[in-house]
Amino acid sequence: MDEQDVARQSSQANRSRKPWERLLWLKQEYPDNYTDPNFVRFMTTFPLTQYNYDYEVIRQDFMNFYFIILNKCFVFITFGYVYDYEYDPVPLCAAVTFFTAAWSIYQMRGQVLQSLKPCVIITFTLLTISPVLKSLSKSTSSDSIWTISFWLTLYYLFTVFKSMAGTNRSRNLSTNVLLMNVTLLSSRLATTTQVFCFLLLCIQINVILPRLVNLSSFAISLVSNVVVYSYISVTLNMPATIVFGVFSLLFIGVLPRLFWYWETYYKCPTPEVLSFWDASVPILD
Amino acid sequence: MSETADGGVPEIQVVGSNTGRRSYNIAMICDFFFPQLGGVEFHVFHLAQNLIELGHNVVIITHSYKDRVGVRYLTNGLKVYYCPLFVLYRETTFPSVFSMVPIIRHILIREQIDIVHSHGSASAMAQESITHANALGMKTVFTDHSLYGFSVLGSILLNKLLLFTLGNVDGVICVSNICKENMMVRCDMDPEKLYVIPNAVINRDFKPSDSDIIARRNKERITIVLISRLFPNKGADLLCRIIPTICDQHPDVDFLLAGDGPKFVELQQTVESCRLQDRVKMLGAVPHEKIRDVLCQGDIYLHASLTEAFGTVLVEAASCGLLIVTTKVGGIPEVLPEHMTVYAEETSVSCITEATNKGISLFRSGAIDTSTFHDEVAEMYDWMDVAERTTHVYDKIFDEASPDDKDWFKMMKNVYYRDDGIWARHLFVLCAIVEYLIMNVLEFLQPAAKIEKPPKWPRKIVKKAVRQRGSQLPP
Repeated sequence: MDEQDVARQSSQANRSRKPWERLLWLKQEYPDNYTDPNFVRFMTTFPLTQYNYDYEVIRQDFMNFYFIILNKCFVFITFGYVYDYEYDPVPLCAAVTFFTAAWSIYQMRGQVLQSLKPCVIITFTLLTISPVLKSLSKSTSSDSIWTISFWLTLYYLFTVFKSMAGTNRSRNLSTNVLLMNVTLLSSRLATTTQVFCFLLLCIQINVILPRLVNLSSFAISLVSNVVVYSYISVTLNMPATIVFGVFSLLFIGVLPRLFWYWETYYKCPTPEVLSFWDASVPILD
Repeated sequence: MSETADGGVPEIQVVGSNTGRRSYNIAMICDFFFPQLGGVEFHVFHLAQNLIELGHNVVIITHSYKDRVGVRYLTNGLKVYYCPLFVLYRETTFPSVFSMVPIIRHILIREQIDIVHSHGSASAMAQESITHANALGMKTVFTDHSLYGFSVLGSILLNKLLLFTLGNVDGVICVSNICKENMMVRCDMDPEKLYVIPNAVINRDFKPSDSDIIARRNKERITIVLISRLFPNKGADLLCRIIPTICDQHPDVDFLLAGDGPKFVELQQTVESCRLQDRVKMLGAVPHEKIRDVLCQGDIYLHASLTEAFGTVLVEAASCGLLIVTTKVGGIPEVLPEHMTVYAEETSVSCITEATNKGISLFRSGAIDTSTFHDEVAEMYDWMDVAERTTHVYDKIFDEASPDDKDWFKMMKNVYYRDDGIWARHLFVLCAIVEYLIMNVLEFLQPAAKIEKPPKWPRKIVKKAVRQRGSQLPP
């Protein structure tokens, strides 16, 4: 018997059999390792489009996050400037305020009067609440304040990370978390003036300026890096600066590449098609 | 049975009945076993019992449960090894690649195992022992009981691990067609090696008694039963909205809920806030032997699960004579015939409510006769059938085996080509090399020939003795 005969016979046998049904309760004349032909067809025909993630976009996102971390460092630098080194914060505050005011007037020439009103309100509010904030958590030990501040910083970075995904609500949340952190720290300062200046500086550097200037522009990023690393090397030591530097380089140089690699090769290329094995989403209509 | 380590075909023995069939020494390995109760645990136990009935020798290897350490015997001389291993999370042992080699190797050689049959992707023991058994030259079979996605980190890592452990497996059994297809995509396996053998139920344990049938007939109100672990993936959020709606629409419908879980309190609050305490009875966790009693009190079984590989509870409920109202997810559409089920097209509150309404009206109009369900289900699902089909898988594995299947170099090559990732494939090969090194060291420290072989449970002799005694008894 040649191959053709065998093939003809098997096809005749297939024709005499009832067609296979996708049912477990039905006893069928098919072996247990029979595969649903529809599924095989589906698997061989669905378009296997691999996602081409733009590495440049991923890298830019990581850079932006890095600049936000640098920006956040300014809270601690300002705090150290006032609390540790006990410098007078008034000249610095005046300079930054002047710069912010000048820059915002330059950017919003037509709306100076409109933006003046909230500025005045914020300034007077800060003046009013500074003495309160100074004594608000005075009874708490400094160690507790540092610990809470540490966790709030992590939480802040998390909320920033969420806000980069893009909702207005999470952006407000990150600002509030920052203010909470600053409020806590301000209770360690000695005078009401220091508290006022510290709050004003933090709000300007972390809330207002990032909306006015592009943090990732060359000049701003250079200034941020120089200030932060100088501060670390002066306050801590050189090895600490090197460790920070290495971590930063890993973060902006290696991690984006790894992330891109993961997204391209490890995440399923067509999750929409293959999602029918996932748990369904309950529709609460 | 002695030809094991070289992968030879076991000799044919005449066992039990007059039919000649091979008798295998089988080791079932899984983290989940008695005293813990659940779907996988019952599957392993019933399959083992029926394989013993077919004349095979079965041992079960699991980790220790509290003071249950060492060797225990269950019904019909089913030997269970409770190994003292470190349990990490939800009764799963610590996932390491080599830590179980000495104990697993010792047991497998000691019991002269031909086939290692592991159960459950989530079981670290199951996955690890497949690689050890392959290195020892034994045939390996794996049964998967669940569906896994491709977008969650946990699933991605587990799928990667399966790529390695199932690299040299001889056969994989899945509980439904959708489970098989899932496995095909997850592990990139040859479909010929994947078998679909469903779960089953013990029909006599899910049979409505005559009094149940009479009570059901004389009842004026309709009872809807729900048995589910109250987790979000079991559709607990949907139930919180469906139950008040149905109660509102049908004053003669009551609910009976069995099961506990994180959503229990939320469901209880819903019942209380809607003042439905008289109509919705929440039983909490119910032991498995009481499930029949709960099911037999109802008329309709409602299943709102969002994912399901098989859904044994549906078969149990149908066996107790309940009309099934269910979502259409996973393997559910494959499990029961159309006339026993009402499907909700979507996993939405409105669709499931609509399906429940349809079920209620079918039941009220008497258009459906559920009294025949038990006998029908008994025809469809039977553990002996499962065991026989599993034995066919074992036979096929031995028949189609080539002599170099368990050659270490060939197996290493197989795992190397399992994955395209440069890191993964080298890691796989490294693991394989270390595994073989450990095997050689252990062979030096504890030669296989010197491991004592225990006597087998004298089942056949007992059976023969009973049969002889039975023939002497007066009719």
